[in-house]
Amino acid sequence: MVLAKEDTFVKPEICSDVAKYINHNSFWKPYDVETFNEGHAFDMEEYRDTYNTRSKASAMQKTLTFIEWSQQTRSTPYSAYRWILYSFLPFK
Amino acid sequence: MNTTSPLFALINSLIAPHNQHSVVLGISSLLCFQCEFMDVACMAARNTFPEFQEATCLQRRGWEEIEQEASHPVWFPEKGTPPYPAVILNHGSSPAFSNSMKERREFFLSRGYAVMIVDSFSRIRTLKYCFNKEQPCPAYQEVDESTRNMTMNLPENNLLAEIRREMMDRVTKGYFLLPAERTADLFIAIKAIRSYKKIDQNNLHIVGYSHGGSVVLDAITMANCREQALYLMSRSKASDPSRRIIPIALQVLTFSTFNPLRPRSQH
Repeated sequence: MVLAKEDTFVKPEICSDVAKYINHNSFWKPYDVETFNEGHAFDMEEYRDTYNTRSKASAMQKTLTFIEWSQQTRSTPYSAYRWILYSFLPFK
Repeated sequence: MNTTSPLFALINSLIAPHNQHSVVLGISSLLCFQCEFMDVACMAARNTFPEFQEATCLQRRGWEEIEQEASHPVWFPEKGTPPYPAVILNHGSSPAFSNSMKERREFFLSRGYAVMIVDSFSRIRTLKYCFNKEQPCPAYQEVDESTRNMTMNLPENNLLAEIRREMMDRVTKGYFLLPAERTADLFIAIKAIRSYKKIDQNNLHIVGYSHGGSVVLDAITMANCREQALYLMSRSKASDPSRRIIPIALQVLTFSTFNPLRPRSQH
């Protein structure tokens, strides 16, 4: 989940809290949250006010990395680490 | 408490901050005790915020109708060999083929992914949006106020672009095409992408941007709520199913138990 911290259209803190809540209560801990210090639609050149090419490239790459990562078989220690992290430290 | 009951609407209106809408919501619930919550909400919206009427007064629509409107083209990467992993891109309240969406598409294509774009502002839907009203939308009228037929002499793409600009505004403000409604487009797209032999069915991914991100979250919720939806549907007593929310959810979910987080076996 990629969020824009200075978003004027949605409240990123709510999205972040929802992700934490879901991670805390689900077995598979599905969400990773990446927050950019940008405004809404920072990756869209149509919106010049918030457009940032560097953040756009970074967000695209992180999305791709997450997609590739989701296809990999995780090692048991890593899965255990992730499970403990989000189960006992939900607001990490 | 059952959140579909008019009693819920009444209590909600009493405990909610007393604005015009909550008062009308309360009055509406008293006037129609046989109605379900969404009927009451619809009635209240008509009398207070008519601009929200399209969003509040949900209507049942068949799969065939939505499938006819649906548009979800697919692009395949130049490198690599099939079956390709695939990414389904869900646009926000801006059009599906903006420069940014094309850029996103090219990015994934260059990485060896097939890309499907779910276009919720498809040509048919755009025209329906404009002409399924008593008055055609302003973009159409602006073209030529004297004789509407003349507008067809203009390039259709220009007209569609104008209408889409209006749609964008209404979608962003929550007046039209809620994420839950767009979820149907996404499910139809998933069904379509599963028919491609060249796509790896165990390697499907959905990326939603802005309003499209809400669509993905709604899709996950609906996919996981299938059992609950079926249960509620079986308990529903309203005589006219065309104005309830549950049938829409059921329609969405009957042909797909898709859970984006769970890979499926290839078929």
